[in-house]
Amino acid sequence: MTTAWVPLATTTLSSSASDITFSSISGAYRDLILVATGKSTSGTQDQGINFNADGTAGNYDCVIMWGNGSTYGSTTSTWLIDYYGSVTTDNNAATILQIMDYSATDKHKTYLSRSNRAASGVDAIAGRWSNTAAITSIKYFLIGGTLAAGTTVSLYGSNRS
Amino acid sequence: MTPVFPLSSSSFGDYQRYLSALAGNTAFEPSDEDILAEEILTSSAAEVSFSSLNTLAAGYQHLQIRMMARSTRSADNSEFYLRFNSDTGANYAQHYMRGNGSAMESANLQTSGTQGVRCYQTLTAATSGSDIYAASVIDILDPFDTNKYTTTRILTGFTGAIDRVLIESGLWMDTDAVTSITLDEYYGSSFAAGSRFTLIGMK
Repeated sequence: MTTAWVPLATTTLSSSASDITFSSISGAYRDLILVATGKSTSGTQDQGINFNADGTAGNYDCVIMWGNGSTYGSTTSTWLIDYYGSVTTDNNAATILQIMDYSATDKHKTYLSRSNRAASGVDAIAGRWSNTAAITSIKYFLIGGTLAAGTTVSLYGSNRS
Repeated sequence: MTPVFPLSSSSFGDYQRYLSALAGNTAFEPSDEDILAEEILTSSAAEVSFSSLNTLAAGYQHLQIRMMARSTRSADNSEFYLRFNSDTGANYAQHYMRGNGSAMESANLQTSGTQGVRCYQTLTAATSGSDIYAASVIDILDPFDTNKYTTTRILTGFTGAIDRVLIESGLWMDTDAVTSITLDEYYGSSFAAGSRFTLIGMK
């Protein structure tokens, strides 16, 4: 029997940083899961993701479903992985991102995100990177801010059968 | 740890003799989550099944299906039945909550989908590019507990010709232990070649 999940890397910031990037990701796994508990140095900030250093927003699109305790809705965006599950200076948000078939070279990369911040709201997101290249690096960042010390991001890989 | 000497050793001295060939080795501890089966379609298929779960999944508490799949249906999306033990009776229920990029909706599909858990809008189809697949993570909870109905939950979505993200719940109203799982394309089309289905067991 093959163990399902393998911890690949965990980074906890000891000082502020613009992003956390996992690079040289092996293609040996089937799916990736990224778990983030982010903090910002200032204010409320949305989290974003880039693959293989592709910083062109037009190559990403996502559909978002959100509820904030009094209302709910759906919208679209580019590389967002949260909506009301955004991060603050208090490290009270959690986001789990499922990146499916990340090393397949015949598929665009579809990912699913669930993000929560109890004081704000809850989100479900489906996104796609319009590229068939195998993902070898993942950049986690805040759309309009800086990651604070204490931010932790972990990356897991699921084995192939 | 005390070293292990082969039985052919002529100088056991004060060493302990063990009958087990495993003596001295680190104990094997199975992991908490294991890959039980995986299917990657090389040609289209109307159904995908995982069977003999009474042996294949023995010792696991929950199951998870992780999939990247599309349909051959000539439409902008499709879906499938999730069926247990080949039961095609009206023994299922399901609800969903959906975002389409501009609005949210929720509905009960029980009246229109009783031949399995109807996994609503879980597949891309012909109008999306051939390299665009929908992602789904399906949790199947306590499928071997004969005191409970089997419940499911799904997180699924895609962007393509249309955009969809859904959270879905499902129920098989039977206390039998699950021995097989069938995914059956809802509209009579097929899962397209390249679709991938992975079954994970969780302790």
